[in-house]
Amino acid sequence: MKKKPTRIPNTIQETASWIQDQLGASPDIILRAYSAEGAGAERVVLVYIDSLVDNDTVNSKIVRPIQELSEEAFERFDERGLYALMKDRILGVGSIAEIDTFDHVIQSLLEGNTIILVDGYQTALAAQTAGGDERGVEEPTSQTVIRGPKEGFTENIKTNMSLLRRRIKSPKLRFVQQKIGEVTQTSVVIVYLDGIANQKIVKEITRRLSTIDTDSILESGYIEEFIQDRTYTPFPTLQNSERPDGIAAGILEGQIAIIVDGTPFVLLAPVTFNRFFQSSEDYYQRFDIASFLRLIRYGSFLASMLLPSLYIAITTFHQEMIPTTLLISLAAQREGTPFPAIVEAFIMEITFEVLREAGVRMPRAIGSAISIVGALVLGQAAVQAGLVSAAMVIVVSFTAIANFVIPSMNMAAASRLIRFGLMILGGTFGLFGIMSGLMFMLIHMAGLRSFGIPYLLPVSPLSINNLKDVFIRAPWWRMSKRPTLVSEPEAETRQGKSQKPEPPNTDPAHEGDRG
Amino acid sequence: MMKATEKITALQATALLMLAIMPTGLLYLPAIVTKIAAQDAWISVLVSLLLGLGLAFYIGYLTLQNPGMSFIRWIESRLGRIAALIIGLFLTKYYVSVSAVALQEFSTFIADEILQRTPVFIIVSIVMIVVLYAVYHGLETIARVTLIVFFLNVVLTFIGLLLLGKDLHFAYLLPVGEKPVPVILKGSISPFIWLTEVAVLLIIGPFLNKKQYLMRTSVTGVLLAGTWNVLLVMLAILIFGPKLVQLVAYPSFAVVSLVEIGNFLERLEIVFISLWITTMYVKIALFMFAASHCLNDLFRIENKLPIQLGLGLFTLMTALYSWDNTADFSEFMRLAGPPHLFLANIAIPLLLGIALWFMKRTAHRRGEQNDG
Repeated sequence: MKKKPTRIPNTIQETASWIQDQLGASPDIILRAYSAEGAGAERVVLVYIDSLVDNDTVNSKIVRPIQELSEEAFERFDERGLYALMKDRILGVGSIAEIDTFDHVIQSLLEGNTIILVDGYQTALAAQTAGGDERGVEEPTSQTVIRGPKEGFTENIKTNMSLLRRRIKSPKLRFVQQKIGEVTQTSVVIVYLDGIANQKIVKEITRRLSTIDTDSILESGYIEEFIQDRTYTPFPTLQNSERPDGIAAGILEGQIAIIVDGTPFVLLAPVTFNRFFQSSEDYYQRFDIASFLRLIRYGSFLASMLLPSLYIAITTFHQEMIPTTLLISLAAQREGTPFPAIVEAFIMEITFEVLREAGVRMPRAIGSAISIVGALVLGQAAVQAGLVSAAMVIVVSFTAIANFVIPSMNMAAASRLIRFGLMILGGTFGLFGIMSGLMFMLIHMAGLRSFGIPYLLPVSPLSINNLKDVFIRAPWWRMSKRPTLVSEPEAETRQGKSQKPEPPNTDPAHEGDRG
Repeated sequence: MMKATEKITALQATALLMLAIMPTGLLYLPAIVTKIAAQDAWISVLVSLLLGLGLAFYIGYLTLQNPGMSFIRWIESRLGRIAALIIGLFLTKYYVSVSAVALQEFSTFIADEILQRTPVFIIVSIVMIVVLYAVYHGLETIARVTLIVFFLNVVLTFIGLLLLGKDLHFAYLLPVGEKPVPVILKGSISPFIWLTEVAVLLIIGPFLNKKQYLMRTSVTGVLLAGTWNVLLVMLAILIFGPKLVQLVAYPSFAVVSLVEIGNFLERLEIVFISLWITTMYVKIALFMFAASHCLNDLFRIENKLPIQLGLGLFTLMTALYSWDNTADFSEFMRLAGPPHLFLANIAIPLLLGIALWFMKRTAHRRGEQNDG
């Protein structure tokens, strides 16, 4: 239920006391009244929240000009004149809004604006003075690259918007802002390229965002869970990144970014499965090494998901596949261990997950201790004590390392979860169980959609043009099409054809010989 | 609601047709055909391919008559509710029993070759859960999965062929044409019966996003599956010779078990079996989808899940309890299987074609009379 907006009352005292009432007696709320020297009546009141404003701006652009106002000005002008004087002459701030309801007053105060009230006048001025202490643009911590820009998004939505604006200098870059969260009033901005992003998807995202009815949004993860296509799936259907270059690249391919105030993680939708295996560095390096690395990533994803379960299935059910010499050494190792392979695998996998979680929580100073404990105590000692076989330690460690190869954390998390399910299937039904599990997973993925876009897009349904950027990365001049369905159908062509670089016909090395 | 938007591409439909035929043939075909035609079995399969292509053209032609309605609705609009009821119920029964047969073959194979001590009931249930999950998602999802499975199998088949090169003995094919024509024709009956499953196009055809590719889809699907059969029978004969093929339980996998890479990778049949498992899933899922689609459409059921679950359970029970043992099952396959497939895949489309032609003619006449 929305209550009727209340207008600002006539008298300045009433307004001031109402504001103090609403915001409580917080020490960071500053109220300053000005009056003509002789008369006691206050004519102008300044209100701002100290912790949200840029103090330099407030002091030099608002406070000083008002103080320097001559006494006669105060006496000469009536309230209308004073208001006009304030608005047009005195306030040295670029963006000034006129507001006339209490709700707006509170809202703009909380956004870091400074409110100027003139006695007897029912409209207030809100000068934009937002600022305060914030983290500067730093190198992103979660998605590092060797070659490529080292900027990362920050918690400030303005900074993040500017980082994108600076990369895409196009008048078609659109920012659409809305506030989500009854209590937190978090700014959420949708960013897309008009004419390139699929208009239907833009509408769909806007619709889903506007249906969110919650009291708080503190991170983009909140938004993600409110707007994703399917909740009960281990696979992420929205991408997140703290790299402005990655987000800009997505926007240029027709994706839509969602920036949430207060977090450096920007969402990108719609996404397909292959997106989670692309790193922005792929496009900055030579295409051959980028393609190779990408294949390594897909392989690692499979290894991270399948390796323990395959090991269990093969050693338990299909020993005939193992070369004889390896089989003998495996059997010799397993001789001393009391548990079946699946129990062994579970012990080691759970141990690793515990170590990993501990590594995140542990203070940095004793972080190195954990690697010693992990490597020596839990690995070597467990083998020597006959608790697990050495081969299992190798399998689990490789699985763990393979998991870190996947560029996006949420896809890596999916493979971690699926791994456990497949381990159970492999331990009970061998390769048949694993294949059935994989089939189930494949069906699940084929049925998934991200904002209406099939999850396995360039592969199935097949789109041959877009296969140039899935398992391999073709040279830039070859990738002339944007992803189908993601971008607007008319805007699929991204660049001119036949841009293959060729050496000039005249060889510059022999140029000098002629003369 | 989902039905109206469900669309598959021609490529997906081709892969679906191929995988509707290939997986079960893989298990038994070489043994069955070589038993009749010995070293000339490959000629029999080649003949069956030609027959199959003929059928493919006919099925493609018949599906083209459909203006884009779902199969049962189309029959109902042209031939009336009674005809639709008879055909719909029969096809539902047919697809359920084909699924049950495939399920039985699948679970028997797994129980024989991989999981000797796991109760068959568990294996069948796992297969059914995965299949129902696919059917629940609809044809579009099944088609997408099919395409991936199809590509994987093509790649693996090529690798397998390359590795098998050294084990081929072309002398086993001699003497070519020793068997008389009637024997060769007799041998071509059962591979042809496998190819008749192309008739499922009548049901999935209306989902195609571009109708002009229907004929191509139908023919390419049969061509792929038929070629695959020829290749398979050829390989089995070339490697084992016509005598041995009949003795080995599953010659196709015995073939790949010869593959060796160096001295460290051997007995690779489990890899091939694993991939074959995926094709089997696709096949059963497609037929289960066809069954539930027919039934749902016939009675215009909006909430499809209960029907799918019920059909699934029914199929599972049929597969588990219809046949006491393997001998019983092969007796069934020998006596009841071919007439059943013949009826559903050839007789019904033929009758349908005749009925449609007849209706068209009478309608045309009536039109002429009205004009005059």
